[in-house]
Amino acid sequence: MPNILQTVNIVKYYGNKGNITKALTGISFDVEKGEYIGVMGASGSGKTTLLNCISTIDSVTSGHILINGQNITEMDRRSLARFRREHLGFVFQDFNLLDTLTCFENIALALTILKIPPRQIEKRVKAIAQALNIGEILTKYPYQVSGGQKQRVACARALVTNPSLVLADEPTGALDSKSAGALLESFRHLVHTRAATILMVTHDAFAASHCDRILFIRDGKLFYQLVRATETRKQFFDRIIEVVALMGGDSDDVS
Amino acid sequence: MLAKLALGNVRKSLRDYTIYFITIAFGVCIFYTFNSIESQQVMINATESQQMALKLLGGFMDAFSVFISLVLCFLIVYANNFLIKRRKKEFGIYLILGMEKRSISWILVLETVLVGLAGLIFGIILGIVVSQGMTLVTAWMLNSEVTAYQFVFSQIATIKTVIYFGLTFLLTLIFNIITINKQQLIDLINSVRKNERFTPPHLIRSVLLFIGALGCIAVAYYLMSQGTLFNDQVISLAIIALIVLGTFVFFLSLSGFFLKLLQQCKGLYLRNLNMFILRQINSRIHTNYVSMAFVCLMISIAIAALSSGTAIAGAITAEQRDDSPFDATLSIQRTIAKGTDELAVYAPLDIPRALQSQGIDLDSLGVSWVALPLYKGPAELNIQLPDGYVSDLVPNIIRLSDYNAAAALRGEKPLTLSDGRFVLRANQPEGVWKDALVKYLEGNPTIDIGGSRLSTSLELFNTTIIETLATRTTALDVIVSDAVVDAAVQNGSILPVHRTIVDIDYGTQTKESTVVDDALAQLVNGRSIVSADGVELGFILETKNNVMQTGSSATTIISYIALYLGMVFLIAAAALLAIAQLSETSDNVSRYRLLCKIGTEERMLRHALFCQIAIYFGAPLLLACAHAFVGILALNSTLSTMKGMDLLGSSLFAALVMVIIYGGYFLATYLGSRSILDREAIRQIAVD
Ligand SMILES: Nc1ncnc2c1ncn2[C@@H]1O[C@H](COP(=O)(O)OP(=O)(O)O)[C@@H](O)[C@H]1O
Ligand SMILES: [Mg+2]
Repeated sequence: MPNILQTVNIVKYYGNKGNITKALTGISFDVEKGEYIGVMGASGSGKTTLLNCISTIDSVTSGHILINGQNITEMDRRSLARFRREHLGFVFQDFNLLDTLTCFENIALALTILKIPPRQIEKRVKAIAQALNIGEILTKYPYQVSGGQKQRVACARALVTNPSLVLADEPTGALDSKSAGALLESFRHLVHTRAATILMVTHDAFAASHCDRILFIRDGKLFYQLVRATETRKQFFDRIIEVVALMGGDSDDVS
Repeated sequence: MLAKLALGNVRKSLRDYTIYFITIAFGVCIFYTFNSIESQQVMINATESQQMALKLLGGFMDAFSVFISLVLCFLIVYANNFLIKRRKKEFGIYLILGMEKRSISWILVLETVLVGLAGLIFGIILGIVVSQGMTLVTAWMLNSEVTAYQFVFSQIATIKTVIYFGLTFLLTLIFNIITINKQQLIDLINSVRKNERFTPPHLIRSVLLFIGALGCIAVAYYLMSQGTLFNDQVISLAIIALIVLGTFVFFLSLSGFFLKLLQQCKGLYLRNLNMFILRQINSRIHTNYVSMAFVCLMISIAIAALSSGTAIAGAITAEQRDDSPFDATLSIQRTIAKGTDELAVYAPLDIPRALQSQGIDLDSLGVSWVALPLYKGPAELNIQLPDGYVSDLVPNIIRLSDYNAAAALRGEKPLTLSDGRFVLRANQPEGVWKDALVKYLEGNPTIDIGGSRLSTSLELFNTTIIETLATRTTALDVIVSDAVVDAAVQNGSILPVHRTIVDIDYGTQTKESTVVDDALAQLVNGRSIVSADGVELGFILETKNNVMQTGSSATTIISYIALYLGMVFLIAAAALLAIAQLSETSDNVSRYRLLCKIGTEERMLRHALFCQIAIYFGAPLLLACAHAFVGILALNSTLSTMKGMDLLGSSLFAALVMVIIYGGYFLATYLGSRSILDREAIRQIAVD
């Protein structure tokens, strides 16, 4: 399997001379196409920063990030925007849907900015909505649907463009455990059927147990890696808990 | 230190300050220019009456300036408030860094003074430049010449401007200091405004309301086109109410209507950010429709004032030229004392002999003149106008040969009249009054004078003005053949002459016409003649110069007031829109940031922003143009004075002023919003 994502020794400092925060202090890892990767760590460990750097929303201080073989650390702003809309999909913790648009329009937005012909847009939105089980709520506004449905709409927006890499920052953070489980199952399903690659940041061991592989981050560094073998999810979950305990981080310390 | 910080701040937030600065500069410029009118006369070779006109104009400007300065003061305070709101977070950071509130107030004071002073100086310089050009316009409008070019600087206007705007700045200062002192640190830091609760639009309701609004406006337009705008007070009020109501509902439902419309054609709706733009506008329509409607109405007034002001002025000048066919007219008229028997006091009057007997020798002035006696028609001679018009008008009777003598003096061909016919003459070549007469004449009416039955028809209708008049009267004359008049006088069925006009032509002396005017005035001053029945009659002298000058004074005053009000209304409207749009853009930053995150092209974002602002500026403008257009047409067809109104020219003028002021604000708003978009969204995607 080819590598879809390659990070080489990325470092990210915030602030200036007098007052520096070292958010990432040299992280390297590879992700294969079709993998479902989790990133765990305590609050303030640099998970969001890592995701922002990979998603080209923020720039690294040093190091390289290659997505599909393209070095995004060397691109200008315009190419980055283009790269984001063509190759990446985003799911945010707080959904980040536009409240003035209906669910349908929120999903369609990702396609209209790609200048997809309007005739195809309707078909594709309906198809992805079907797959995520939100076909019924498309004409509603975000405030009229539940948190779980909102996050499914956000997922649909991220996936409708068939991105090569989906980046999710605590997608289940604002959901109850039932909706969280359902959403993570949908994610799983999508990884299999669409050969989508997902990188999901979470501080929740339960959410992480749906992944194929988990990266643990502490103080801006890669601390440990856990790969799911043939074990059940419950067994994988127990191993995750062990590592979390080992790291000394408090998994309830919500960021 | 503080001064440096303040200066740095101003430079940093230069774009935020643009609207504020432009509003001050435009306001100051207009204020200075119109208040310097009185001082402009040093350059104008004005006669005494023109100087009076300039003084009068200055007085008008003084009075209007009080009102205008209130409008501008409100605007500046409002614009300043917007600035403070946007910078609350910055002040919060200063507080965290340990700066005292007093120091922050000082920074604000310095900034306000700095920008205010810059705007004031820039505005006055602009005003001085503009007022140089305006002097030429004033001279041209007053029909007088410009003496050798002279730099005009009005000390009074400058002092007035500085005082008025200084007070305004003081007011903004007080507001600012109060705002800062009232604020708690936490409010300042958390002052990023949350989006107000979203309420979903009722699109169907919007469509119905929109149709209703168009209906209201259409009915109002129809009523206006019927020429009823100024005739019936109830209808006028109804028209105004319909327009205002229609305008408000129009903007309330506009975006919903278009949203629904565009949703029907998916090809357009799902293209680029179109649906985002429409949803965006629609979501804020409840907070914005009132200001958009107000802006629309203000622009309507501004356009109407700008274009009809200049048009009315032009029409007055044209009319004045028509109304003074002779260099001078001396009229001798008797008034009927209350309670006297009308017939008894009318006695024939031989003007030439009467003049001679008084030693008034017109020939000594080297002028040609013609006396034109007007016989009072008998009461039975009333002209029955069609329903809806004032009827029962008793016309004067003019002898054909007298009329022709006056025509000859003007160098016109004589009128011929076949037997049994008469000519109806009126002073109104245009308008409602003329329409009434035309209707009357279409019935081929007949009249009886001294036993002869005379008829007339529309082709004989005559609108030649036979004397130099200050204002157009609704007097009617009937021109009949000499034989008929003589016979009627003989058998006593016609009333005697009650008014005689002496039309005077200066011949070769037109160049020194004012000298002749004075000589004429001297000649008749204090004189009177006594009629056969012993009534003393006075002279009324009207000269062409006088008529033209009164006209041009009126013209100048009307156009300047229209211009003054129009421009200030325009600035107020545009500044309101600009400020509303800028704060909307900063409220929407998080939405734009999301669009950036999911990779929207910068060009597409800017285009969306442009469209949004263009719609906010364009929609009120378009509707206002329609309102103003229909209004001006109604004005045109209703007022007879609008004859020869140069609508095209004055509309172009209004358009030019529009483009400069409104376009300037639009551009500044777009650039300001774009820089908010750039700085706070495109370059700062990672925030939050
Ligand atoms: N924009 C920023 N400016 C300065 N420091 C930041 C910024 N964003 C994050 N940090 C710091 O970097 C570190 C990592 O933050 P983050 O990546 O948000 O952690 P996590 O998402 O794992 O909770 C924290 O110490 C945080 O305070
Ligand atoms: Mg985080």
